[in-house]
Amino acid sequence: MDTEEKRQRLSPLLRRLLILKVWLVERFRFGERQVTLVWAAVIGILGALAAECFRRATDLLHWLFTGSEASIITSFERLPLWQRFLVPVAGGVLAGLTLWIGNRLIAAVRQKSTTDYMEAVVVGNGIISFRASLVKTISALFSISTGASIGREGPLVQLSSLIASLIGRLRNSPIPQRRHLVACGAAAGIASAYNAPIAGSFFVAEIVLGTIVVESLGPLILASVAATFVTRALHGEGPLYQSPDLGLHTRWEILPLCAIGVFLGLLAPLYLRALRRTESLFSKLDLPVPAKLGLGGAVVGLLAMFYPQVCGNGQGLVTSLFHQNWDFYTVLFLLIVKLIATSATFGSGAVGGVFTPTLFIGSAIGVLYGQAVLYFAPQLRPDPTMYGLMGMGSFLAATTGAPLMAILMVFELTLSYAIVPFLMVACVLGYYCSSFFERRFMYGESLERKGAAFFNSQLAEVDLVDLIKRDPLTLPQNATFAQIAQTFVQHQFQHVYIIDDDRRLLGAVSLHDVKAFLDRPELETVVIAADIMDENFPRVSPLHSMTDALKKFSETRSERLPVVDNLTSQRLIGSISKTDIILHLAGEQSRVEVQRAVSSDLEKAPS
Amino acid sequence: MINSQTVARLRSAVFVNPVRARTDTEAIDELLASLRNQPDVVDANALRTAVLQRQKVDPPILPMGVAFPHARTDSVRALVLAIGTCPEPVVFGDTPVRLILLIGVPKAAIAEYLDLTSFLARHLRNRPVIDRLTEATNMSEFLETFAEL
Repeated sequence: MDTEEKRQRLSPLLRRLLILKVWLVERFRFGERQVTLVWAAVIGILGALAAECFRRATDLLHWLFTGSEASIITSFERLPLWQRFLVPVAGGVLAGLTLWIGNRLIAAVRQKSTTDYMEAVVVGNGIISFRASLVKTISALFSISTGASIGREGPLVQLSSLIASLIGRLRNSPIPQRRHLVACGAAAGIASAYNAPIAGSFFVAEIVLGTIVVESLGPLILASVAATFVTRALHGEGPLYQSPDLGLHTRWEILPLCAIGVFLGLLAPLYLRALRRTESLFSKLDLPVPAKLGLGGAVVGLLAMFYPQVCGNGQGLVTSLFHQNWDFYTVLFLLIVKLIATSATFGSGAVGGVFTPTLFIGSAIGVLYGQAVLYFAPQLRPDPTMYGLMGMGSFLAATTGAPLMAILMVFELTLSYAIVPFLMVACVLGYYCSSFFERRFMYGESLERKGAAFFNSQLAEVDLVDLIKRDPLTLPQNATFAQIAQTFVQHQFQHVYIIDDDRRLLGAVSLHDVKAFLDRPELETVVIAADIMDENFPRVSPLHSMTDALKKFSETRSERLPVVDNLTSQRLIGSISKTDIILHLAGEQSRVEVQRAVSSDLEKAPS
Repeated sequence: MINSQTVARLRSAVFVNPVRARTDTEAIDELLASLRNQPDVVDANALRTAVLQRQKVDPPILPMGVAFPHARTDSVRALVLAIGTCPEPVVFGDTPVRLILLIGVPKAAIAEYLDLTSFLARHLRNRPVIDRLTEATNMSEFLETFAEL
C-alpha cells in the first residue's frame, strides 16, 4: 500500500463513528426537523428564563414605587389615596418617556424591522429588532409595575420571541424557519405566562400561524412544554385558577350554559369596538407620547382611589371573583371600572397585553350571568363560578377568533375536566355569534393594519431564492469513498452533492446507498464519487415555483434538494429544505387571508 | 469466502485469454468486443464511451497490477463482466497490469456494483493469488482459484 493510499484511507475510529452515526440516523431518523425540535426546546427554556427575569424586574420596580412586596392589588389597597393616583400617572409618564426617547434614537431601526412577534411571523421576515424590543420591554416594565390595567403576557411573549429571532439570525436560517422559530418563542412566552403548554402552542398555531399542521405544531409544542417545565420549576405546579368541584345539578342547566356562549359572543364585538374606539380617541389627542400614557395612568389612578382592584392585569381579580362570594352589584361595578381602566391603558398606547384583562371581563360577565340565572331559575341551583369559567372561555373565543385555543386555555388554567364538554359548546357558540358581527378579532386587527403596510411595500415577499441555504456540502467527482465517508461523519446531511470544476452539479451521493459498505476498507481508495452518484438526483432552480419545488421532493427521500442557477448550465448555488417550503406554504395561507382582509378594507375605506 | 451471488456473476463473465492488446485503450476495446454479443448489453458503443470517460476521471487500478475499468451506465440491463489475463503486462497509466476485469453496471445497481468491487478489491491484493489467477486458461480454473480463497 503506497503512502498516498494510506493517507486517503479512513481511520478505524472514523469508520466506527460513521457506522454509529448511520445506526443512529436509521433508528432515530435525526434530520433537519429534529434539529428544529432541539432549537425549539432551547427557545422554550431561554424564553421562560427571560420571562422570569421580566417578572423579577417588575416586582423590583413595583417595590420601588409602592414600598410593598405584596401583589399589585394588595399594595394599592395599602397606599394612601394620593399615592394610588400618582403611582400609575408616574408609571405612565415614565413608560411614555421611554417610548419617546427610544423612538427618536432608533427610528432607523424601526423602519427596517419589527418589534411585533406576530408581524414578524405572519407578514415579516422573522427578524425582531433587539433595540426596539428592549425599549418596549422597559416601557412595559414601568406601566405594569405601577398598576396599569394591562397584561404582562405581551412583553413576556415579545421577549421570548426576540430570543427566538436572535437564534434564527445566528443560525442563518431561511425566512420560513426564522418565522417558525419566532412562533416557537411566542408559544413559549404564552406557556410560561399562563402555565399552559397546550394553549400556548395552539394560541400561536391558531392565531398567529393560522394553521394546525404537524410540521409547524411539533416545535411549538416542544417550546411550550420546555417553557412550562422551567416556569413550574421556579414557581411550582398547579393551575393558575383553582376551581372547586364543578358539575351539573340538573340536566336542564345545559340550556343556560349553552346560552352563555351566545350571550358573550354578542357582547364580544362591543368590547372589541370599545377598545378600538378608545385607541382612536387617544390617537386624536395632540399630545406627546409621555402625556398620553400619563393620561391613561391618570384614568387608572383615579379609579384606583376608590377601586384599587382595577390595578394590574386582572389575574388576582379573577381569583377573587371565583373564591369570594361577591354580590351582583360589586361584580358589576368591578366589571365596569375594569373595562374603563383597560380601555384607557390600552388606548393610551401602553405596551402590554389585553389577554388577561379579557379573561377577567369574560369571567365577570359569566358570574353576573350565573347570578341572574340563580335569581330567575333557583330550581336549577346554578353555581356562578361555573358560569364564570364558561364566560371566560366563550369571551376569549369570541374576541380572539380562536375557539380551540380558548377551550384549551380555560382547561389548563383550571385543570377542571368536568367543565370541558360545556366549555366546548360555549366557546364554539361564542366564536360563531361574534364572527357574525365582527370580522376583525383582537389580534387580527393589528395584523391587518401592519399587513397593509407590508403588502404596499412588498418588503418581505418571499420566493424560492429566500429559502436557499448557500454553500451546500460538495465534493469533486473523483473524491474517494474514504473522503465521502469522512464528509458524512462530519456533517448531518444525508446527501453530498458532486460537482465539476465549474461547480456544475453532476449528481448526489446518498448515505443510504453507501451505508451497508462502510465497514469495507478495501473500497476506500478504489471507488470514487462518480461511481456511486445518482446523476438524476432531483434539483430545482430559482425559476421553479414553491409548489413545483415541493413536487420535486416527492421524487426522493431526501429532506433537502440542490438548487442550480438554471436547468441548462446546472451550476450549484445552494440547497433548499422541504420543511422550509412546507412552513412557507402553510404560512402563505394566513398571509393570503390577511391580504384579502386588507384589500377588502381598502376598498371600503373612503378616498 | 466467496458468496453464491458473486460466483453467479463470475460464472456469467466472459473470459479473454490471453489479452493481445498492447495499450490500455486497446485492452479495454478487446474486452468490450467480447461483451458485444451479451444479451444484457443494450448499446456497446455507449458502454465503451462510459468506460473510457470513467478512465479519464481516475483509472481504477489495484497496486498488484489489476485494472478494473468500469462504468455505471444504462447501456447494460444487468451487471456484465469481462475478465482478461495478460501474460505480457499492459501498461495502464504507469502500472503494468496482468489482470483486467471490465465491469458494466446499470445505473440503479449501486449496491451490486459496490458488493462486487469490494469482493474483488479485497481478494486481488495478494501477489500469489494474482499469479494463480493470471495463469488460469479458462473460467473454470479462474473460479477454482477464487473458490480456494
